Amino acid sequence: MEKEKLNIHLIEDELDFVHKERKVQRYAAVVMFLFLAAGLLGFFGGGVVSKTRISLNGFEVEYQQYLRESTSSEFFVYLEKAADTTVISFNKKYLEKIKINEIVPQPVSTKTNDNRIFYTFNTGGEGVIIFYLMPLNGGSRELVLGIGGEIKQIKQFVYY
Amino acid sequence: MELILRAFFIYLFILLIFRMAGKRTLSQLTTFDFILLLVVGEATQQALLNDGSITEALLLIGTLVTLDVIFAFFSERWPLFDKIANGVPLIILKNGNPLIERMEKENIEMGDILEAARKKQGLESIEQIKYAVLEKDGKISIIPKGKE
Repeated sequence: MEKEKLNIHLIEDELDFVHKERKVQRYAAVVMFLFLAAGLLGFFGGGVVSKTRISLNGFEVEYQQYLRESTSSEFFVYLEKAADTTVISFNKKYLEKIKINEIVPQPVSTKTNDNRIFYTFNTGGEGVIIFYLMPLNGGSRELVLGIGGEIKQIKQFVYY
Repeated sequence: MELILRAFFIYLFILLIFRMAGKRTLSQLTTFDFILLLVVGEATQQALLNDGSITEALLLIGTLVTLDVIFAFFSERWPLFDKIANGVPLIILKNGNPLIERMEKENIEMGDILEAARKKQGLESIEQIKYAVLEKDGKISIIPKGKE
């Protein structure tokens, strides 16, 4: 009986810890809310913050600035009054870390040199070329994108 | 090496998030908690086995646990919400008399009540049971005769 009293007394001694714990839980809930809000907005990919659109050589390019490892993502090149053929090139270093799973429509030819891969498409008028990308691992990535002779550097981040 | 780091990170995250959610989350396995654990298990497995992104798993687990906390918060404040989300307890035996219709609808056999009576109260027969209640979490509570 005496031992039981002692145990209950010991539990009551931890009340101070319980109060501190609740405080930490409240802060943690706020951090979790911010984390999820950031996720909703697209800070971890797939949202308005991540979706980026740029103009290059008269073409509109749309891509995700933030990607996630092993999660596929699309890279769009919108054509407007395009010539009969369009050449799009990627730097090899980028493609070593980010795999192209599929290209729609398929290029008519592929060429490579020391540090770039060139995809040639039969185009004309309006349309869209979609590259389905799969990041192989995490970290920051630098894409050197070329469209019809113009080159632009694009920075992306892949979350683990 | 990466596998160890993944396991370490995910273990820590899950430990922290369930501590954040409070003691209630895993103690009472309601329908939603059960679904939560199944999905958390699947997401964790994918992230651990290098099949998916850790960030994706953290977002998924974080969303589900936060939903669980929100559901618990609403259930605590609004009884109707609690009834809809978690159901209500049901008396299945009264003063030693089994309520057969209720038992049949809930797929409960006399053996289940007797098992709960033996395990929880050390009772030998249904005559010794005042009430048997099918709780919200699916467990059977036994109130022996002689207790108010």
